[in-house]
Amino acid sequence: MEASGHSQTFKPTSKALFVCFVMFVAGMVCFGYTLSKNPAEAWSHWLIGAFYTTMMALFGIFFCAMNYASGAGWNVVIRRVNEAMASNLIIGFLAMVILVIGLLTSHDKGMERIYEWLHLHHDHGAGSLEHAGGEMAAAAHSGQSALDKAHHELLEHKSPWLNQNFWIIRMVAYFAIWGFFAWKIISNSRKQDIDGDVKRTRANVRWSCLFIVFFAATVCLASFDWIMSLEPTWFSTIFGVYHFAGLFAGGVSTTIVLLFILRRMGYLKEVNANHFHNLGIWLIVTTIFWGYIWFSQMMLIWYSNIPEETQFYVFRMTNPEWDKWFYINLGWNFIVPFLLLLQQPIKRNEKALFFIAIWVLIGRWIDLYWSVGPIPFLDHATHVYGFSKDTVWLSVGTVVGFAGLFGFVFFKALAKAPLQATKDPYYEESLHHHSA
Amino acid sequence: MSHPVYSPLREPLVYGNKSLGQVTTDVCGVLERKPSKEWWLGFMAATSILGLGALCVAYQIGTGIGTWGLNRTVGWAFDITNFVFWIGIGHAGTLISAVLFLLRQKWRTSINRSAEAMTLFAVACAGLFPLIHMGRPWLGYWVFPYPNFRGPVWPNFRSPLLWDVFAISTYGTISAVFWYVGLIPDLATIRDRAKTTMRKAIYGFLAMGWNGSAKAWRHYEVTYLILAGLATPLVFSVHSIVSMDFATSVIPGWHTTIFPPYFVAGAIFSGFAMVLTLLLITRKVLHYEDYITVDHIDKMCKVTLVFGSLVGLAYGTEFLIAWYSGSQYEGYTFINRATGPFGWTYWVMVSCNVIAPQFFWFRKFRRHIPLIFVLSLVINVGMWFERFVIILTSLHRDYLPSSWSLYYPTLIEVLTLLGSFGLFFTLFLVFVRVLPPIAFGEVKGVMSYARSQKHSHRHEAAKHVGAGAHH
Amino acid sequence: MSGPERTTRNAKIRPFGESMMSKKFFVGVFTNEHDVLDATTACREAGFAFHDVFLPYAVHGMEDAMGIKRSWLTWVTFLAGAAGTTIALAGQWYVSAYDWPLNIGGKDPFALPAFIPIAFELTVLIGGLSTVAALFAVCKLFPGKDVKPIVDGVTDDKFAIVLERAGNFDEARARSIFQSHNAEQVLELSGEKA
Repeated sequence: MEASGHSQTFKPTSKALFVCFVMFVAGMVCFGYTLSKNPAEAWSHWLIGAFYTTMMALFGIFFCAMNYASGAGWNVVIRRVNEAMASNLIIGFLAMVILVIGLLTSHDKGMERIYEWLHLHHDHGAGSLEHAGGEMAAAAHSGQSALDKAHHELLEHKSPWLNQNFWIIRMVAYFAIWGFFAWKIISNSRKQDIDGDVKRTRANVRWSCLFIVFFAATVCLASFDWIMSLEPTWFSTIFGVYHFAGLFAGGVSTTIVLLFILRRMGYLKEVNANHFHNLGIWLIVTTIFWGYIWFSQMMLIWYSNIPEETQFYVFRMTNPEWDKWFYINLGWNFIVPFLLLLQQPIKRNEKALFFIAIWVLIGRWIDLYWSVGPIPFLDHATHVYGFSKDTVWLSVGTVVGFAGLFGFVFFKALAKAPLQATKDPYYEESLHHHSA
Repeated sequence: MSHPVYSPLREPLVYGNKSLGQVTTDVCGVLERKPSKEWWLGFMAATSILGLGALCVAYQIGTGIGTWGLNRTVGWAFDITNFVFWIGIGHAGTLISAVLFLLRQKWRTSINRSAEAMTLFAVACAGLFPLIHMGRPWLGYWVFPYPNFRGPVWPNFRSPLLWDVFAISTYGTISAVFWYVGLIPDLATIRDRAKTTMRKAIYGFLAMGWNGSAKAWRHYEVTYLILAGLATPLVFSVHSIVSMDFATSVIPGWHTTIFPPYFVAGAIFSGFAMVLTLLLITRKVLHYEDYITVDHIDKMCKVTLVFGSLVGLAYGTEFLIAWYSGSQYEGYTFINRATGPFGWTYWVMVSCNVIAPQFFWFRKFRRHIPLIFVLSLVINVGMWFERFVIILTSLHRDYLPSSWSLYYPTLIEVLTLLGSFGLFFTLFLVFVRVLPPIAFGEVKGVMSYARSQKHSHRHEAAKHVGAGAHH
Repeated sequence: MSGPERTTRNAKIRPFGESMMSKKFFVGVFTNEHDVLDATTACREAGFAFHDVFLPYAVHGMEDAMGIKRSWLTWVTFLAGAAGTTIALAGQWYVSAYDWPLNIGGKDPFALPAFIPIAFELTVLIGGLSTVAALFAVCKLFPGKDVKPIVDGVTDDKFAIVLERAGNFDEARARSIFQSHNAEQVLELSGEKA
């Protein structure tokens, strides 16, 4: 069988775009409603959406790069999907910019709890905090003041890293790096559609290797900067790896979901059970990897029982409103997909895999919500938490909005190039890929 | 029935356009000939070192571990370093045989057999050190939980040292079984071509009646896949558990959550370096250049580069978070690591593990055999130092300056380490004589890889590259 | 496909073993995996009953070609692995929380996170060993078992399709399938004769 040299181009149906648009509007309604009730909570939901979107977009380019670098051929028939996913980096970037603007302009009650160190003003004297809501001023108790002082000293210590300007510069730098490599790799891939030059593949191998180095470092730092620093007194060296695991499992699931949808629309007939099998294997591998990293972090902190580390878990495992999320997170993200994906026929079944992928994508929200959700209710100095359990669905809604936007941008981006890289030197191999 | 299609970019995995029968002859021929002079020289050197090590072990068991350089502050140093070092070496074997199998990296077939053998021998070396450390190794079985008349006194299941016992014994067992299952079809081939009754009897016994039946192959293949699937998380668990010996403590520099994946990356890194060291010698001495080709070497260098860089990233993360944490103990430990009395060991570690592998960014260096050999040795040294740095620098400056202390190994300790190398090389040299160092059955299965009428001319070109590499 | 010229050995007929004494077989010997795969598929499609196919290495796609099901050994692994987890957790509970509870580091006597590593190791150990034991049992492999290859070289560079000559066996059809797929040799074989 010879490659036809001609490939279908995707045309987004108005129905698909409309569904995405409705999701987006619904999400923004949820966000707007939350914003009117409790701005701090709304921005925490926004952060989950922005982080989620960025990670999924990043997976798109990472997966291309990983397969280029390792000389894999099987993924060529699905590569355009991953390339189009990467277009959402722009949405991730805009969402983060909006978050920054929101954080810096809003002076509502509780806003100081989102990136508490962002509100640290050195010119007010050592360790003084500006509290827009003035809530903490009420804490006049002397023990409380000692805690406050120690807490502020710690934030001062971290201020060379955790300060507004450097944090924003780093954020822009991460996106610049990701965007640059995504642009390089994808444009080489698109140019190959025209000239079929093998040199483009070789060039992409080089760009990919280089990208992976930067990727490893920036993903770690970005998860430190955007998630870990929400609780600035807490730290965990494995945190970046934890979010890399989540990125990978979620990204594979997003790919599966998008492939399923596209195939239902009548595209990508080249993709068969063997390709899904590979994705299924990646999904179980990354599920296990996530479980492994989850366990490593949790067990080591539990075992050593050092207060500055346990603060992260103590609330999340003992608060009566929150303790269940700890178990739901583990069960949802590890135990269920692991047991299902152990079975070979499921890994080769497109529909079964689609449902598991949706499950895992919900799981990604659970994982992020478990991390970020308590922050608006957190008193950083004393670790006293409150919690409102009625707003969980608003977070789900906001993420659905981001999913709609993701889908919209994805469909638009996918339509810009042929669906198949037919002149890729691995294209034939990918068409005939066999995995048993 | 559709036959596999390969991209024109694929290079053949075996050079020289061999027939199936030739593969058997090339690999088994080595076992059927008398050992060469080089082999005898190597074997004698290895056994002499092993003998020296054995004497040292006998001496320190007879005298007690007071023969070591430990003191009240530094209660763990050389012995545990060697243990972690050897366990790490063992990881590449399983990585190559199991992980690359699952990732369908067909190039693994030429190197998996000897890498797996190396794993077993490295685990054997590693196991020696805790046993010696016990002081009374004949009571070593006390670590296992069995009903006894001492209470019963049970081992403490909450201790990571006990997890180690289970992890290492499981790892040794499963690796051995995996290796043996992989050997069975090859043993049957050797049985069927044996010329002497003795060979036929021995290999026939070990081949367990394998006759190549497709009905057996179907179960065999799934078993192999399952073992690979089990060995993959197992290999992660083993070095993670080794890392937990340190990370579950509250010692600054030991207790950090990244330890499990960081140790695994380091283990794979050091293991690949050792595989490179051994295979570069093996392919030269046994003339396996057509099987363990420069392309194989090139790929192993790439893996080494990836894991070397990951280890570098972990070093950086640890440093950043030590400062970020605001914990003065963490902060001091890392400053002391880089600038204290043992600062030189830290810089040996960084230069060997992070800087040295950066050469492998360039294709020219990935195919330069002498350079790779030297770099593989450098990385082995670096990874030994990594464990030494982690263990020693976190201990030697205790919380109270009055308890600060230095540590230097005694001659006995150094010679014991040397002796473990003797054991390792003795076992490996015996292995390459009695068992096929290349899984030729599996190699036959990938012979058609990158080989079609369309680009059969590539083989000639490839042959030249292969020939050029060792001139 | 095959490499430089080499002399092909004449296949020698060998006995199968006790159970096959009374049966008769029709054998095609091939020299590469593509031929044997295609010939096997053709034989299956023509409705021939396989006694077995003998291969020097695992040929990908042979199960489909022969029309045999995927191995069920995965279930052995799953069940044995689950048993391993259970044994490990039960054992650690018995020792640490029931038989002789001790306060260690202020942790619960049944300190689950600390018991996970050993539970994992025993899952793998028992799952893996049971699978291999099952493989040996199912394929009747044991140390010292004496077999002779059916045709010389099936553990080296020959591939042999062995069909059962039962009922109204269409020999001409089988022979033509073998020959059209470049069989090196076509043999008739019976247990008694050998």
